[in-house]
Amino acid sequence: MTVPTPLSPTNGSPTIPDVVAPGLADVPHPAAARGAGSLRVVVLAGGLSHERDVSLRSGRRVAEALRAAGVHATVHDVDSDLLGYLDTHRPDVVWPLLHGAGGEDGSLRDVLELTGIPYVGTGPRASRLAWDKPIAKERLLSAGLHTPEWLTLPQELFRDLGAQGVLTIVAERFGLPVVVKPTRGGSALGVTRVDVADRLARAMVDCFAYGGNALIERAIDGVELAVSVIESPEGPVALPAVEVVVEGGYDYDARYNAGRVEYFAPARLSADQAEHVADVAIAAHRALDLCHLSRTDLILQADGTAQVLEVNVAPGMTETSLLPQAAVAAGHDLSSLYRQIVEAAARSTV
Amino acid sequence: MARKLPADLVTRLLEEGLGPSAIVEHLREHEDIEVSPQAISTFRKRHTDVPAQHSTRRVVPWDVRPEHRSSGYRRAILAFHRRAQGRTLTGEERRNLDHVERTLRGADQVITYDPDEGWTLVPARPGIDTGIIREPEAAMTEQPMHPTTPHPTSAAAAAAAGGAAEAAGGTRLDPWYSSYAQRAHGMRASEIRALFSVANRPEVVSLAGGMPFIQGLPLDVIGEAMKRLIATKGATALQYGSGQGDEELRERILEVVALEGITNAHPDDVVVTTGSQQALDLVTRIFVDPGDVVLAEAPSYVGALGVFRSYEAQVEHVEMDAEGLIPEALESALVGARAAGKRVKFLYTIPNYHNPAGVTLTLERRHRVLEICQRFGVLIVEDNPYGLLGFDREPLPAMRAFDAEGVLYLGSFSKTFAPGYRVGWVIAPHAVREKLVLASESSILSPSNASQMAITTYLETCDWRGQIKSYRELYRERRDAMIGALSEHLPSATWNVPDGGFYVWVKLPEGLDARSMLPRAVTERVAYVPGTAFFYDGQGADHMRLSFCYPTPERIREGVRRLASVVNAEADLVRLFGTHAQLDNDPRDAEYPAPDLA
Repeated sequence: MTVPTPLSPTNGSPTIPDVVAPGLADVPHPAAARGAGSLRVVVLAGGLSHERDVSLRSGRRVAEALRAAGVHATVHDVDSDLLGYLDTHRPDVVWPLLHGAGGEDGSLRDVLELTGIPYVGTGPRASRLAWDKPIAKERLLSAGLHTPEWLTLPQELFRDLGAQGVLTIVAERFGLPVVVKPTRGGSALGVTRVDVADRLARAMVDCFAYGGNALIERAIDGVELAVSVIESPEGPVALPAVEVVVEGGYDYDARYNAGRVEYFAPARLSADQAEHVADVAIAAHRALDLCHLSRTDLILQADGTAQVLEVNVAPGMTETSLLPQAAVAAGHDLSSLYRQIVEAAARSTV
Repeated sequence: MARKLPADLVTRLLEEGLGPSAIVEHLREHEDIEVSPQAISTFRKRHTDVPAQHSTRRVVPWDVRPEHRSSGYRRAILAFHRRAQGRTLTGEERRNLDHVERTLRGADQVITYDPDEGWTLVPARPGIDTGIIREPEAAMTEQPMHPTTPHPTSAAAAAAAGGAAEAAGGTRLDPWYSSYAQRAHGMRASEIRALFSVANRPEVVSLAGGMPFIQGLPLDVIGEAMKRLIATKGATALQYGSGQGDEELRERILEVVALEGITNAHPDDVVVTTGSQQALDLVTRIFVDPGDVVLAEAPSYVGALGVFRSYEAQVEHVEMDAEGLIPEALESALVGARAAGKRVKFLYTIPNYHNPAGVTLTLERRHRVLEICQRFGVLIVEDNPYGLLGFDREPLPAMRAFDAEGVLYLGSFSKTFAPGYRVGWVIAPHAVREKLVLASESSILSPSNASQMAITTYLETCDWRGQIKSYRELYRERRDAMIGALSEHLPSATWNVPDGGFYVWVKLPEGLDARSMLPRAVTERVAYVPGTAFFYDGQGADHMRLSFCYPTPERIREGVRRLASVVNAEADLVRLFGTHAQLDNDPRDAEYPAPDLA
């Protein structure tokens, strides 16, 4: 397995404090003409989605790591001040670390395109398609990848056809166990595994509290893996797979309560298996036209099939998140890696 | 492989806390059945409610005969294990375990089992029998139930992966996970709590928090006073202070409590604390042993329940109605506890403008509650942060005004002035006060001198009575806005009309669950606290607490309008599916907003 080669020499300049010096912001700083040490990045975090809390934590982490690499990084919420702030300060790069609606659905990226400021991550159109799980699954299938069978059921359908009838046919014909989740959103919010038919209704209600469309996906047993992909000049490369072992299920608490989960980074896979899941993650990254970085969550079944559950356009970057763990397992220094990502973004549109 | 799993046996072993690989071994040895750990795991998920776990050591390390299985000892062992795993016990489990533990502790004994003799108690061997059972010799020495690998979790995962790799230890991102005290395991990340993080965004109308409307203070005047304070008395203000608190402030506090009829207290009876939250912590620390009973209203203040839980108290809720705590319910709770051999350490009550219920204990009932508690020899902890914030009348006398020996009185400047200083107090009989001071010194040395002197300066130089009056008017207007909006937009719900304080306690239409509705509320840009936060035992999902202290009347009306659309949409969904969402129903510590969220 390859790891990304450094995109530029790292520089050990001291941490720059989180303040914008008065006056400095007014001086024009075309990115191309500037030395590496003065790279200015605005990390976008927060927003108004259900995952605001996670986003804020991701944003602070990334900004800290960037500062340690000598990048001038500030964190900004997505609010009515943002566009004025970007216009005044004209950072070299914006790094949107927003999870959930707005951040991942492409709409914010549309506006970022209009500002002309380079940003980290996938463009608006591809984000929109990756964010919608059923659409993304269709595209993964078209690319020859495996993803668990699914149904997409909007709330209106239950109203039109009668809830009980739909639930019965799902349980009897599609079969259990299934995982019910909102078609959009992350952090396992609104997600329930259903093993017995009489729990299906409650799972639907929980899911519809987060959005109007439900994805019912066949539950797959196997090893839970997350494979992060980062782009290098030679193209996308996969970081080592991280394996997640948890009592009970990788729910919200397990994701953010450090300690409940046991992580294996790299995952306990044979060389062949590791190579296979890396290939799958890169293929998924390509199939969805993703840019700079992504994280593919998949399950490796006993027969060796890698079933892709979802591909994240804006993977979590908190202290318990999987992409940073994979990067560390690959021997990366997070500060240098994030700096390389930012530099690649700055170059991509200049 | 082809043989069917013995369902009853596997279920029992799972319930006894065995992990899949240990069950595989048991079946192989005792039943001559060969199955995979995966099959056990699948069986558990499909056919039982037992949570996944990977223990290789049996919780009940004996083959118990069917006729011995209903024993209270066996149930206590299972409950002991569940508690150690940080899971919540049912009332019945807790009562049984409590009883058994008391018996064992009293006689210094542990439980053992023999198929012929049944369950017996034997003396605990110091340093060996550390739990509540004596392990059978075989388990102590050969440990036949332990598989060979030291990492059962990894082994199970490796087996699931088709044995592709050698089992090696994984990483837990919290290396101290196994070191936490039992009581810390309930402190978990909660998706409900995470949802509150949007509450401070201006787009969201938060009816969730309990932040007073500090913008209503004359900040310029206070600023001048603080400047003078540091300039003239800085050397004292920035130094350590006394553990009991600044004497001048303690005298001033007596002027404040006199407004609620407490005229028989001495400055020496007052202990200044870091908010009345610390007073609650100190009182619980010096009175409550694990398993002791604390009585509290149903519902009760979430912050108090958190303290009680952290000291492993057993909280029993006492019903209340529009006139506050029901004396008959209190008496029957005390009679019931006495009959069950439990020790009730105190009654925790918020008599004025209750949080979250909004009701006030009538004067007549105050006397009856005092009489009942005196008769049963039970202390009263009277928590009164809102007493001066009545809208329509002068405050009723505090219970402490009638009983200086049987009541610990907790007060605070957080709601009447400013929570940022973190200054509260407790008025206690002298012997209790001595212990409170020592306990406080051991946790914080002394309350902040700067904060105390700031409060003293404020009380000396500002019109604090006038400020309270203006707060009362401000909050009354907001209460009216909220009640008006509820009547207009949410006629399907019911609520009380509080005559003071910060909160309205709303009962949702039949079948709705306030917790499962919260994500939808966040989408609609409105926040509230689900009623479950205010109960110790998972009740309250049919209620929510709305606070009217922070948003303006206009925002309150908008918030209630949004809330109505949330409730209506959720009601549609519940009608459609005939059920509300299935949430993890472990009551948690953290399903309320952090204190700095509006």
